[in-house]
Amino acid sequence: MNFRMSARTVPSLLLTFVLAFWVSCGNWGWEPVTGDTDPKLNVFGLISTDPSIESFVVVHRTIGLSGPDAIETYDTIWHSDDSYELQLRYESKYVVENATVHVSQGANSWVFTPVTPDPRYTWQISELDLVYKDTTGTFFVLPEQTYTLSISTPDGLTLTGSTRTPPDPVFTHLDALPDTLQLHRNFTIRWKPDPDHNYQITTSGDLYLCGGENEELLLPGDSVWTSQYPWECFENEWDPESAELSIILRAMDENFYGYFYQHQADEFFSFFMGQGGEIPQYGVTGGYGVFGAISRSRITRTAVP
Amino acid sequence: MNRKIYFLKKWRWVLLMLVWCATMSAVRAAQSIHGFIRDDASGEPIPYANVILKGTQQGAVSNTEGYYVISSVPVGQDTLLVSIIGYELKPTPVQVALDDNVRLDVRLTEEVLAGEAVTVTAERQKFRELVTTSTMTLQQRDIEVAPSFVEADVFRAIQMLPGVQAINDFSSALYVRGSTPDQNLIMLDGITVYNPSHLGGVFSTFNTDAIKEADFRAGGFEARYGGRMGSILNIVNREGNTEEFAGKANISFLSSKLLLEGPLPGNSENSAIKGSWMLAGRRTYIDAIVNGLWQLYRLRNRNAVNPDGSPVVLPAQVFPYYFYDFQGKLNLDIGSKHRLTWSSFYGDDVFYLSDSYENEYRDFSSNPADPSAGYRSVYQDSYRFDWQWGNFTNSLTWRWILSPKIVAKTFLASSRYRFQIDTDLSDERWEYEVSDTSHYKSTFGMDIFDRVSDRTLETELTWFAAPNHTVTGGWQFKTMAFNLGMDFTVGETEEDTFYTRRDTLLWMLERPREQALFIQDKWEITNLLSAQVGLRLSHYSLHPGKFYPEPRLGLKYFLLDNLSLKAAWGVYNQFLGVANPPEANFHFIDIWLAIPEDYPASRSLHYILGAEYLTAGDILLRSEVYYKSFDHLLTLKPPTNFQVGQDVQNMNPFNEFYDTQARAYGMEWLVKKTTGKVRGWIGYTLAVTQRKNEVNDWYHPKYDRTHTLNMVADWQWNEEWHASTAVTYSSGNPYTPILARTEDYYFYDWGDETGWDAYSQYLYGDMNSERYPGYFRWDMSFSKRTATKWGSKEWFFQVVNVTNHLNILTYIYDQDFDWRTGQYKGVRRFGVPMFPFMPTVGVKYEF
Repeated sequence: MNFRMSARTVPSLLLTFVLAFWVSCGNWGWEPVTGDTDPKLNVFGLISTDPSIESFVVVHRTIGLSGPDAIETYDTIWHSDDSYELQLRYESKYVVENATVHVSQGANSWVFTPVTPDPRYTWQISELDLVYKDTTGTFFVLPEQTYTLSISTPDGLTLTGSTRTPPDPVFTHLDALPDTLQLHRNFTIRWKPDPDHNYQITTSGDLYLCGGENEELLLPGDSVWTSQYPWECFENEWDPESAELSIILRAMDENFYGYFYQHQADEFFSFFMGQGGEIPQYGVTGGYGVFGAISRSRITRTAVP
Repeated sequence: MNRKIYFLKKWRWVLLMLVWCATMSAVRAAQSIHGFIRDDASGEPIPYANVILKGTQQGAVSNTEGYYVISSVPVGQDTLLVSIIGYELKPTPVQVALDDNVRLDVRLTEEVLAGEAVTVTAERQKFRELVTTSTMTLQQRDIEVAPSFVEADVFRAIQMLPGVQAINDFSSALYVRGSTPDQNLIMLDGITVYNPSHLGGVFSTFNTDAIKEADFRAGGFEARYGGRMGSILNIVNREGNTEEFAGKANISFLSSKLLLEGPLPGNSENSAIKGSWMLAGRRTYIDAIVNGLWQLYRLRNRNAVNPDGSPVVLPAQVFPYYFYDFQGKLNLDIGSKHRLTWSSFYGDDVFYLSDSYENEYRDFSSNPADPSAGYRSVYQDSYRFDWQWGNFTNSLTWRWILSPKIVAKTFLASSRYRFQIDTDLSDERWEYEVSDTSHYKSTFGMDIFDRVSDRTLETELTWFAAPNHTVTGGWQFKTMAFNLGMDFTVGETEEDTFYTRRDTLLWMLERPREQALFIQDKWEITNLLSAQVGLRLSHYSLHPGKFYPEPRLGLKYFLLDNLSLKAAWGVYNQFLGVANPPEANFHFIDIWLAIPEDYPASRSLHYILGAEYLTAGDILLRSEVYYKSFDHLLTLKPPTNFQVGQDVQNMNPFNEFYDTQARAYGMEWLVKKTTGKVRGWIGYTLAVTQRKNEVNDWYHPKYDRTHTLNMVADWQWNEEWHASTAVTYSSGNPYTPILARTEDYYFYDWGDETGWDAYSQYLYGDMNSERYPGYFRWDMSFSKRTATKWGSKEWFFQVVNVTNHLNILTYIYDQDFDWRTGQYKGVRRFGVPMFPFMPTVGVKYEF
């Protein structure tokens, strides 16, 4: 290579490298993500015909990508000596405490108001546990009826929803099911088939049983379920002679089934296959979440090893 | 119906075609010269050689097998001139008598110019001859100089061509003009290969040392090709050296490769049976190196103990993966008219992990003086994870020169792709007490498999009907089996007896058959205008009573001697596909499925317009625009239920599809230089691909890159030094952005207790509505070749991603947690990189 060649070539090469490295600028590491889309309501409304499960509506909202998900706030704590102090706490930005929630069925309408769980029965209460419920004691849910939901907030967010309660499951052939079940042997539960709804069956004991909450998702139209427990189910430190076994059949409307079974399977599938997520809207419009309904029937038997 | 009549009715078109060919051939009988053009040193056929009679306009061009026919030759003494760049011009005297068909095989000698490597190119002949659009043939050297990861790879080279997109650095899969990899017909010597990659697509299956050339058609392909809608890639293996024993060895960071080739014993000019063979193999060995070092470490630490006194348990191996493949080819010439070719490929990826642990516990505290009064338990755990996937292909081709103008090829092939995951877990426990001994054992086994078997019988006739007509027709029959399943075996000791139970969670078995008749004519209508007209008629056994006509048309018009316009149109059907979504970053396994009975065949229409210009220095400039539509693509629906123990018929997660449409259009530019010290190509692609189904309106799939600029250059500095470089700049791939933070609800119902919970989640935007930052990669490679007394040695050094540019594979999102407050501060993301700056070295030996 002579000098003239170098004089021509070297600057070109240098320029090429400089251009290449300029093109190559990249951020190898974590970077903040910004973006604040308009918030929307994200609700979980459950209408239950089973009086042991109270109907409720959880009202949350979406929040932007930047900034904390909670607001710093202070509570005034009074002490017995008339002194007080300010205690720092964090209030979730997701929770909507001041929504107006109406649930209607035909011409009847109920206003659901915010309630937090009874502290006597709940070890730790978070503002996330705030739900809207009927506090008048007049909200009795009927099977095979359409219920509508209407939510609005002072800052203008609205959401509506609709669900139809499924019929109460009906156990059949109960006379063929003995009062006492030997759990390590097959036992069979039968019910009236319902081709329009998905069912779930759950068995649980009042004492510890291995396999504890034995549950299975059933297909629409199924009418029989056979199960057994492993033989050592009663081999625990209490060594009970028998246990009370509850057999619960739950029917779900398509919104409830869609959100808690189909949507969650989709989420798994999307993650596995790399398709990205989707926005869950089951029985609601104007926001996200689910407004669903369930009905339940229960029988009990004595379980022995 | 009488079987004979039924047979005649069914195959009457084939019979008619045979009779017609023979009759026409006889009618037009006159003097001709025909034969094969071969390389003098290796005996490999030379395609696209120009063969003319000296002093006349009469001539022909050799086809891909090196065969040529010049018909209507005048009687008398003449001279045949055979020419192609890179070989010495060969004048051969020939004597033709009346009605004589002269067989004249010509062997050409490479032209060696001082200080330059041999360059063989037939760019000008291809420019004249090829009517089909979007065709590119890569020679072994093109493949070797194109960018690669650790070692040369034919798919990586093809990814640099216009119209071909790569989804990421880790995948060598080909996304051609909006088509997904399952729409490419990948063939090795004509045999379909279903999963042509190793390590989830990082490497292609094909060992470049064994490859002679790769013939790639990005669209508008002829009627003889069917069963796929996207593209055709036929990898042609070397035939094997007919003259002498030769070999090549290659040692790189990743693998070792060996190729051996030579003539069959007893080969001589006059022997009635002669032939050649080729055998190539490759295996990765990082597993052996890493595990070997690990064994040394284990040996040194075999007595190590944990702080609590227990022995340190080290796994038996730490790198459980390797792959290997073998390719073989055998050619047998029987007389001058018959050739038998056997070609085979066997390759597997293996991920194997197994280990066992044994532990013993003793407690003699009750009476230390009496060991028999104590308690002793022995635990034994073992596991085995055996995952293998790969291809096994075999083919036998019989080529018969029926007459100088009719060449028949019959092809019998089998191709098998399978993946199999076989897992066993075992837990065994013995307890010895004074009064009692007990034994407990539990096992769990899982077997997941997908086996695709393909058996093909093809017969094809090529009829050189006239100097301006080459007619090809044939029949293809394919029988396939798709066997997909998942089994579990659970074993447990119950009351001193060991029981096992086997559950089949999934089992799908389909055995469809595909048949096709095709005919095509390459017709030089005038000196300026040529056409390639064809029709393919396909039948799919799961759609009985239905025939799929697939017309194909190609046109070529010479505006100038060195400027031509091209057009192509065609209908393409496909009867199978993979269940893997096109959005997936990796394809570790391909789940092939036949189109179900109640689902229409996938269908695509191609429209292509193009222009080609060849400069005086053999630089090819090509521009093409295309539009492709797709209907009835398979997009798998998410499985609804996936629990052990339910009925098999309820558990098929691979039989529900979204009916998907797609469209792709774009423009491509190519400048390719195939001669001189500096060679290579520059390609630019402007492409748009969109898909639509009942869940998503028109969206850009993940493999859609709007702009792609590729540059591949290869510089032969002198006889020793050689450098190559490849640069790619493209728009980023699409991804689905997150828009906001939200929550997913969880509801639990445990009978007597119910409740709910909420967990943090992201709200996603429209499918693939944003794009990653632009992709940029610059690779460089240098090699030095030195002659040795037994052959040559070549050191090479290459760098992937010279500038260490961050090319993002995907984003991982996270909420920055504030440990002081216990709250989340905000969302952040991490761009998972593709290949970073990566240097590798290696050495090749040739003898």
